[in-house]
Amino acid sequence: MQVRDVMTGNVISVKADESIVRAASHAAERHQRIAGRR
Amino acid sequence: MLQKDISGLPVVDEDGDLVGMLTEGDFLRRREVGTERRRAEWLEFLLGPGRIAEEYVHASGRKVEEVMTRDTVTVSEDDTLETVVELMERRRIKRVPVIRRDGKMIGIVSRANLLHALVSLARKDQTLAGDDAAIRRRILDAFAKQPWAPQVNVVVKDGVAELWGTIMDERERQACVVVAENAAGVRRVHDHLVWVEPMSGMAFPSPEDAKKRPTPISTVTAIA
Repeated sequence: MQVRDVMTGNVISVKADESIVRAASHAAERHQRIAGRR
Repeated sequence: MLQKDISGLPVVDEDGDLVGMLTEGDFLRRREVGTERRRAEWLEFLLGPGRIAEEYVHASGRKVEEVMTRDTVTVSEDDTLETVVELMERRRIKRVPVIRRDGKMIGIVSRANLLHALVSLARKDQTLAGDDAAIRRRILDAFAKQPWAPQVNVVVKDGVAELWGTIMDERERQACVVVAENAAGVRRVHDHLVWVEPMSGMAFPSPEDAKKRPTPISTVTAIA
C-alpha cells in the first residue's frame, strides 16, 4: 500500500507567525468550518 | 486543539510551504506550568549558552514559530507505508505530512491511518485488488459532495469498504454507510465510525464494533 491509500487529506494548518493561542483557535474554527461544509 | 481533539498541526509560511509541526509534545516543557527543563549548572555550562537560549525560547515563546518543531520530515503520496513506519520509528514521531512534487502539503499520515490500514488488511490476507483504489476514490469523491458529511477515512479491500472517523450526530452514521454503498464496485460496507456525543464528550463505537467491546469506549473530555 502507498501513502495515498491511507492518508487524511484536507489538513488544517497554522501560520508560523501567529500566536500559539490564536493559531489553536483558528485551527479549531477551520476544523468546524470544514466539518460544516463537507 | 483540546476542543477539537487536534493533537498536531502542520505549520506553513506565507507561501503555504511547510515549515514545521506544532504538536502536544511542544507544550510539555512550558514555563507557565513550571515544567521547563532544569539542569545542573555544570551541565548547562557544558551545553553552552546557545542551547540553553534555544530551550528558553521553546519553553516561553508565544508565537507558533517559536514553539513548533522544525526539521519536519515529509513523505510523498507515492511512498510506501514501510517508508512511513521507518520514519516514525526512527524519528519517534506520530504523524508525517504528505508533500506533493511542487512542495505543497496535500495531507497527513498518522499512526491512526496506519492502524486503519492494518486492521483492514488483517481481516483478509489477499493482496489489494487493482480496482480498490478507484473504488476508494469514488467513495471519497461522493463524501466530498455531501454538505453534511464528516471527515471520513475509507479503506477498501476487495470491494469491501471500511469507514473510519468521528461523527457528531448519530444520524450521520447511516448516511455515511449509504454514501459508500452507492459507490460503484462496493460489495459491502463496514462501519467503524465513532459517535462523539457533543454535550458529554462520550464516545460510542459503531453497532458493529460495539459487539466486540462494551460501550461507551471512552470520553474525549480533555484534562486541562
